[in-house]
Amino acid sequence: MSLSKLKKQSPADIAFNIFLAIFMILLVIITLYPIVNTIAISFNDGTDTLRGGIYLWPRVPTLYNYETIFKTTNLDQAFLVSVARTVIASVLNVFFTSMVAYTLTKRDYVFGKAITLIYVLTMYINAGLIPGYLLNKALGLTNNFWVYIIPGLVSAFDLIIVRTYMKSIPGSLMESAEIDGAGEFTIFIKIMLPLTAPVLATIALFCAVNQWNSWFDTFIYNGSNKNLTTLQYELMKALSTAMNQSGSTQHVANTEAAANQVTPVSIRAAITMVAAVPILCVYPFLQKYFVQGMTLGSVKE
Amino acid sequence: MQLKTKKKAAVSLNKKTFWQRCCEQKVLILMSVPLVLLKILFAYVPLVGWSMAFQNYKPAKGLFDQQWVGLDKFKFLFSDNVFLHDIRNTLAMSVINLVLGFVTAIILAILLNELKNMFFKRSIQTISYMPHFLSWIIVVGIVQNVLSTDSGIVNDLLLRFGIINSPVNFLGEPKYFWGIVGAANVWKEVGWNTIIYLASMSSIDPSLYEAAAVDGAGRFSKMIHVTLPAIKGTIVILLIMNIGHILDAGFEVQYLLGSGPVQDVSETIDIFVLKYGMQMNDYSLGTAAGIFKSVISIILVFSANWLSGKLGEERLI
Amino acid sequence: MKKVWKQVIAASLAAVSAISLTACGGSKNTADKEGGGQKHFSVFITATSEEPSDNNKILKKIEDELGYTFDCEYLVGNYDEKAGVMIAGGDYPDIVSCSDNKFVQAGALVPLDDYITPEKTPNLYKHVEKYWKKFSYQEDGHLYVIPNWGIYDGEQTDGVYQGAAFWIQKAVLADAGYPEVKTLDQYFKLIEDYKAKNPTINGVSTIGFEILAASGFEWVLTTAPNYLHGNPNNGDVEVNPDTYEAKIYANSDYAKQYFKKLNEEYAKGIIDSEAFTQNKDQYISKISSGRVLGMFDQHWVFQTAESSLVSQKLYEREYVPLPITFDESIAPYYRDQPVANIGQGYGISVNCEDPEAVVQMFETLISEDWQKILQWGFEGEDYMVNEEGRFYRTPEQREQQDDTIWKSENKINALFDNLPKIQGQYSDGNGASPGAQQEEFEASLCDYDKEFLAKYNKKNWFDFLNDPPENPVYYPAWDIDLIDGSDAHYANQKLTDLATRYLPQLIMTDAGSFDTVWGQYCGEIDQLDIAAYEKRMTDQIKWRMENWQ
Repeated sequence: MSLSKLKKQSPADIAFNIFLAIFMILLVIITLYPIVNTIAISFNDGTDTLRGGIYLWPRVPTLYNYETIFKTTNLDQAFLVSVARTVIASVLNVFFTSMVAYTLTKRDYVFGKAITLIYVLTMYINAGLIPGYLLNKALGLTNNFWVYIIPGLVSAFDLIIVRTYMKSIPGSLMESAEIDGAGEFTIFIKIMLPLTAPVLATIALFCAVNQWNSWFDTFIYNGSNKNLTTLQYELMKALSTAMNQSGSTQHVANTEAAANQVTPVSIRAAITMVAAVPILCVYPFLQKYFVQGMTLGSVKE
Repeated sequence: MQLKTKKKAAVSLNKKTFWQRCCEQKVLILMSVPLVLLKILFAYVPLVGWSMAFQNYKPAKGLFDQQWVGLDKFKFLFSDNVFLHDIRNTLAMSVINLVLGFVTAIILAILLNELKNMFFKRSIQTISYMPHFLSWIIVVGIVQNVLSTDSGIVNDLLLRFGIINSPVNFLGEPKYFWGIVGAANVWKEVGWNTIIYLASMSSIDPSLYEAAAVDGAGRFSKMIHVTLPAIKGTIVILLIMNIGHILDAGFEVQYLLGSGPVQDVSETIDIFVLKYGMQMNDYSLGTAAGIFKSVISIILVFSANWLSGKLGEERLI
Repeated sequence: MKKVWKQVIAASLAAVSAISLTACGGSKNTADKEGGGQKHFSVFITATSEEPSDNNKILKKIEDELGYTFDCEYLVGNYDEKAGVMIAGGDYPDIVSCSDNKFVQAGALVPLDDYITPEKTPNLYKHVEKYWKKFSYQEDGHLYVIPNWGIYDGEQTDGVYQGAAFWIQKAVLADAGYPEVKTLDQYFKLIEDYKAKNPTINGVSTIGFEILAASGFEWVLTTAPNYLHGNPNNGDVEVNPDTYEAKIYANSDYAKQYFKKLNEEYAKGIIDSEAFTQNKDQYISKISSGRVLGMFDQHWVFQTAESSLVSQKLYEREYVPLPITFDESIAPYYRDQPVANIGQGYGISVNCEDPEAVVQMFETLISEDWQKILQWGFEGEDYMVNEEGRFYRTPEQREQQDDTIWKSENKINALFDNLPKIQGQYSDGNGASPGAQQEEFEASLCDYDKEFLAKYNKKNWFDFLNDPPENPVYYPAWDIDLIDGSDAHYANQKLTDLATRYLPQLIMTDAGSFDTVWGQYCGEIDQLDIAAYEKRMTDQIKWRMENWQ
């Protein structure tokens, strides 16, 4: 690294760096805009937002949208459940996925092909909602925390990604371990797991985001149990409430002043932020596993 | 060298009986088979429900007490011109999304890899993947504002530079629709899609770049000859997997962006199923469409896998 | 690396134990069988009003005085999906919100005929008696669902009209000297003149006429000709008042007349060029900016936009409903007598251990005393009573009713929405809810509105509409169940699809090719099995005529 930095930069390199810088700045602007816009709307008065024209900054600043979400939904318990399902599912998935993937890297494994086929096909078949529901009900997984974890354990996509990565790792280390008489499981734990840290971080992220964002399983399986509802589910509930605010014939239009109302657009913006902020914090921590050469570095150790 | 010895070992193993090999590999079996059984339970057992496609399914009755209708549901789908039209739209949007999605994510990943300052690299990466966390309805809202004929920024700029004389109603013109959907997809997902490539780049040996530099390779040539080959395996595998999803163009973005004037190009298979299945409480129709999609997907995946193998590339199975 | 894993595992174990502890604690209080039947009810709620908070004062009062507690499951996603799995699994709570016949058809509900009787439940019996036949399930004649809205005691006195009309900005009428507007031509003339005089409003260009045609709101565009032709709200059909034959009007001459008019107005630049590609949010945002002079719509669709106008103090940009027809010889039929929703409300599931207790709970809650609490709140806290016994609210009390957080603590709208309820007036003459109290309506008017109403010599916005005639016995035809997946249902869905595709084209095309496009549209309609749809509608209307008399 330090060597290449010391080298003189050619004109082509400088031009390229300038291009790179401009490109990245544009990218940041384009991808940051929707986020900033959403934040601005989430802090803007709901009825005022209806007029449109909110871009980067709230016009009528208020915390009311957030207040509504925090006061009208059961968020603390739901937050706990969401964290639990995200952490547990990510840990179990990373471990089990990499374990199965490891067996698939063994060329002579008798069931290798069959297992790959069984998993790959699951990506393209879908039994539908009702058969899935009836199965989970028969297994006692309705009104049950574990319905978040068990049915989705080891996703085919993740499995293939991990397997592909593992295959790209030079086999030398494992072979020497085999010669040392270490068993397959030991090799997997002691050698393969640390070597595949970057890809495991990736699937951990996929799994965590997926778990964190899902609300449909709560809706179908656990909606009746207050103690098992998740953050996203509670937020969706707040949103569907806001959607129908004024449809009721009960509503008396107060024509003198209309304040402190939430609207779907403002609530949607606020729940997006409430839901996204915790999970966005995960990525920077996982990024440290993406360092180039780390894998090989650990091989040389 | 190592490869050769491995192949030899494989050849000698082939001579052993199946049971002998199972015994030898009991640890591997223990490590994988229980999980495979779990997968079979949750993914394959409910496929009994595919029989719904051949019934007039009513949820109040058990799966086997239903009225059987044979292939009626399939006939219904394929005799409807709108459905056939929707297959075309789905394919078109999928292919556009697939190509755009792959190309942009790979380019961005390679460029991110060129950033030497760790802080910038990580910040930009983190920012670029944020739109993934916005729901489609928010993204579509922004797309609509940006493309609006009154005070939308795109029309504003085009007018200012004299490229057009009067605002263009982009969302009302069928010819722009697929492009807009593709662009919206890229915008929302490009950062997210780079993650997997960045992870696979972490296995590149830095000495390869140094070696290339010694050979006189410039930045660009390093990207093409070192970085790209290193992630080729991942690209090929992802491509094969995604080809199987070619009939899943989704429905959310099309549903939210679509409208009467562009209905002919915006409706996808999933929207059709939503309208004529879900909303009419016809569970069987959705199942029939699902079976059709599965069959096509599996055929496509196997073909792609076979082709990839023929071309000497990575294989999925 | 290892350390990280250890920490993660420890953390997750801690979280699991925390959850399993709370989950056990929560599942204890199921049916409480002491003291006169079941007191704890599980409820499936589809209303999307705000969920009552844990410290809700009305729920507390109900628990303290009546002993009833509720475990509610709210509909967060799609109703059809949730109902599908509930039915397939037979997993029903005690009380189920119904919005169609799905649960009845599945045999999920208990017939209530033996539970609702003059002896056992006098209030409830009196409430549904008149409509019993109407609300009974057509196939077996039993009553399964207790209707939620639309049964009025006394007069309908709400001041704000929620239904369909051609709406026009107050400023447009004021500017033209408060004229009487009766026909479509007069209506558009007013809009054209005002737009010519005021090309911009608050700095943005004026939109003469706005159209909502987003998915789910196709009917805003398609049903207008029906009203213009003097027909009541029968959905997609016109019903012959003598023979009771139903006939679609999508391809009728008067539909053509309306779209031809829109086509002309579009050419003049009166109609928003983005009308057909915008979604509902954009539609609302345009109306909220005060630049839209008029539209055809039902009020509840754009009511939030009016709130926004009020908060900007743009009172003159609010709207007045007008019962417009093609010409003055046609009597308008926009406003109708209130009709009760069929098949909508709470049903009691077959899983409920004690249906009698549930009916008794409804019986108690529909008593006037409890209705006042549910609809007005607590006396002295949420409303006042003057010397004459009339209910009124102070300005502060009025204002807090708009506050979402306040409502979740002080109202139980989510639960209340599907409950049987009193509408109209109580026996003491007070309005059933603040919205039905004329004084409350008047107090809510701003000075601009008072003056505006005075100019027209009218008491409230309802007065701008026609006097509602007695509804035909079968009315309304729009709620006829087409039977899921039948040919009739399919034809109806296809008809809507054709309308979304062709009508924008029809309106935006140049005048010369209007007839060609119209011809194509009618040609495509002819290919549908419209006969099946019309037959189903006619049969049902005739059935109603025989059985609802």
